[in-house]
Parts: sequence; C-alpha cells; structure tokens
Amino acid sequence: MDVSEMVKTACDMPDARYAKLWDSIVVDGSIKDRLLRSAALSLRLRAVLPFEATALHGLAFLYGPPGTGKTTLARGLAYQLAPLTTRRKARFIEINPHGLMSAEHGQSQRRVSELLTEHIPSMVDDGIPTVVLLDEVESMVVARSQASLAANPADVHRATDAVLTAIDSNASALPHLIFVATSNFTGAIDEAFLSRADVAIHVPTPDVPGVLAILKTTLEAMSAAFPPLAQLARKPQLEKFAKALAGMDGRRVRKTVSEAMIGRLDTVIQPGELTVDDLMSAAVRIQQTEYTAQPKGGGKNGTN
Amino acid sequence: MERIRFIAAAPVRSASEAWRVVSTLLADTLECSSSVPIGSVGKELAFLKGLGPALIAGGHLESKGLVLVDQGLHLTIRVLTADAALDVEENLNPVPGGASATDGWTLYLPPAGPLDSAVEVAVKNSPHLSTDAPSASAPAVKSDDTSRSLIDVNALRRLGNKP
Repeated sequence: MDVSEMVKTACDMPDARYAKLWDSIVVDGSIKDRLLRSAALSLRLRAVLPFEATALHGLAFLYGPPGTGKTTLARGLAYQLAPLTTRRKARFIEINPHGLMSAEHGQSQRRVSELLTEHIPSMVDDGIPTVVLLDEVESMVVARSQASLAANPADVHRATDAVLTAIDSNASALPHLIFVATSNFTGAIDEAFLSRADVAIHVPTPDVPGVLAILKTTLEAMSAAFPPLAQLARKPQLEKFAKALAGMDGRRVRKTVSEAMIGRLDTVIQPGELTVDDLMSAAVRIQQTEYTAQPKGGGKNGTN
Repeated sequence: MERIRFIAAAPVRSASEAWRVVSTLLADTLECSSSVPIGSVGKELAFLKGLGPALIAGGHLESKGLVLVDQGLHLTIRVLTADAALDVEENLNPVPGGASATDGWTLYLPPAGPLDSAVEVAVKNSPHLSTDAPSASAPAVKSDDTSRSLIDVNALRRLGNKP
C-alpha cells in the first residue's frame, strides 16, 4: 500500500470548513490558549534557534477521556495558527495511524519511516507552517516496555523506533512542522514518545457550566431548522439538567438532546416541541443505563 | 538530513532509461525551488549525455552513486542492476529539501575507472558537476533563511488584546 493513502486530509488554511471547529469545543479557555501558544512559540523559536538550544521537538500531546474534543481542537489548530504566521497561511495534515500498521514483517516500520521522513516532508517542502495530526497515537507508538513478546513485538518495537527517529530528524530539519498527537490511553504510549512532547495538555470532561454551554450551543445550532429550540436554550431550568449530566463527556452531552427527542413520538415528528421535562426524563434514562456506570476509557475521539 | 534513493536499471530498464529517471528525479527535486529555473538542471545534466548511461551500464553508480548536495539537501542516488534491481522499491517523488535549493547545487560523481577522463571533461564544462569527495552531510541553511520568522509577533500581540 502506498503511504500517501495514509494521509486522510491535507488542506491549506484558512479553509472555511475548519472555521468553527475551535469554537465548537467547550473547554476551559486555558486549554486552547496553551495549545495555540505552544504551537506559535514552537514555530517562533525553532525557526531561529538550533534544536540544541530549544530542545523543542514540535510535538504537542492532547490526552483525556474520549469525547472531550481533543481531535477537534487539533483539527482547528491550523486554522487558528494561520493568521499568526508571517505568510498568513498554515496547512493541516491528518494521517491515519491504523493504516500504517501491517502484519507483514518489517512493513510497519518501513511505512512509518517513509511517511514521516519522506512523504510528509515532501508535502511541507514549501515552508508553510503545518500541523500534522496523529490521532489515537497509541496505535503508532506502543509502549515498548509493555509490548508482549508473544504479540509481534519486533515490529511493534521497530515502528515505535521509526516514529521516534522521524520526530527527532524533523525537529531540526523542518522547524515549520508541528505534530499534534491525541490519545485516550496514555499508559499504552511509549515513554520516549511522551518525553518528546513539548507540551502535554489534559482535556477533561466538562464541568457543570461547560455542560450547560454545550447544551445551549447544541440547541441553538438545532434551532436553525427548529426555531422553538432557541427558546428552550435560554430556559434557566437547563442548569438543573446540566447538573444531572455532570461528569459526562461533551459528545455524550450533545447526544442527550437527541436522546430526549426520542422519548416521545411527537418530538421525533416535531423536534421543536422538545421541553425541559423531556430533557430531564432523558437524563434519568441515561443515568439508569449501564453505560454511565462503566469506567471511562475506550471509544474514539471526536467533536463534543 | 541525508537521504538515499535507489533506481532500478537492467533488467528492469535500460541504462539510458535509468539515466532519464535519474535526470528527472534531480530536475523535479531542484526545480521545486524558485532559485533554480525550470529547465536549468537538464541543461547542466546535458554535459553527461551519453556518459550517464555509460556510468550506469558500467556499474559505477551501484555502490557510491551520485551525490547531490546543497544547503539543507544531501541526496545519494544509487542505480542498481541485476538481482538488486529486481528487489528495489523506488521512490521517484521529489526529494524533501528541494524547495529550498539554491543555484549553488552540486552533483558529485564517483570514481569511474576507464570513464574518469570523460567525466573530468564534463565536470570542466559545468559549475554544478564535481568529482571531489562530497561532504558527509548537507551544509546548514544560511542564517539569512533561518532568521526568517514564521510567526508575526504583531499578530500575536493582537491575539493578546482580544477579550
């Protein structure tokens, strides 16, 4: 398989499709600030100083429970970065780490190496600041200390080695390149990879004000098709609903609105008739499900 | 960063075809740069017309190969024959670093035994060809280029002023 097929997305910013991603994620402002500032500082320092002086690898690591918006923040970063660059341009590249792993002996390492030291550098040869997303990075940089000898360990080790080597070589050769890695499983990630991260940012589940903000933005977005939902978004009783959902990840919080709609056939037919009572009933149903009783972990990242 | 590319010659392709592939790779890489005019690489490589295929056919590019050096660019091109040619995985995409190439690029040719005198003649005709030993690594990018900031500090300041 050609490694170019591992590139899911490659687009230049500003691109209107990415304009709203950053703001769609409701997290503490300091999380966004740290991510954007670390990217800007990395570009600023690495362009004028050697690696020996900065020790910056151009790697940001976002971790936390699934559904908290790590991937979406990473996708939105390049758009936010573009107006801060001297050329007012940035590029976003997303690769599919799962496709890099192969059952064929030695192929994983070869693909990782070719992608990160040949293909990606070719794509960014024009010097435009570029954010490369390594989503669910644990599949690429398996913790070698925990790799079972019975589970194809040689290739696991080689692939992890290849990632580390590529990050090291790109750190100094390509100062305009920034990797953003995301993961729900920090324990499964190689320690040497984590130590290369210039910044590690925890993206937690939202607090009650965060849940409330997510609910409001969800209802307001839906009001474009069903206008009465805009009034529901302004009801003070929503706060009680938000408290009932505390501890839930942002993606689940958004889904509670549709969960509430399926509580009655009337609101399936006419979603604009959704009420606070419908939402509270949904909260009770969700709390009673086994899903919320299970420990958090697993699942896939995405928009909250 | 030092990079290496392998090109298959006989029995995969003739020496002439292999030289065309090498020439195209060099041109595609260097002419990504605005400092290297389109067509200029081909003009320089024309001094090796006939000689390039002969170097390949004689196996002179198998072990040491051609070495292209410029600031931030160090590329070895080895042209393989026989069994090795059948196993080679070619990457003919432009080599990373080409976009920042300068008009001071140099292609180093390896010792070629009986072809040495012909190589020397070609080298005399082009400032971009050499029979000297290439440097072990790419020269650092000049400070004029590295000091070019990627971030607009004033834009950062404006970001700080936002509510």
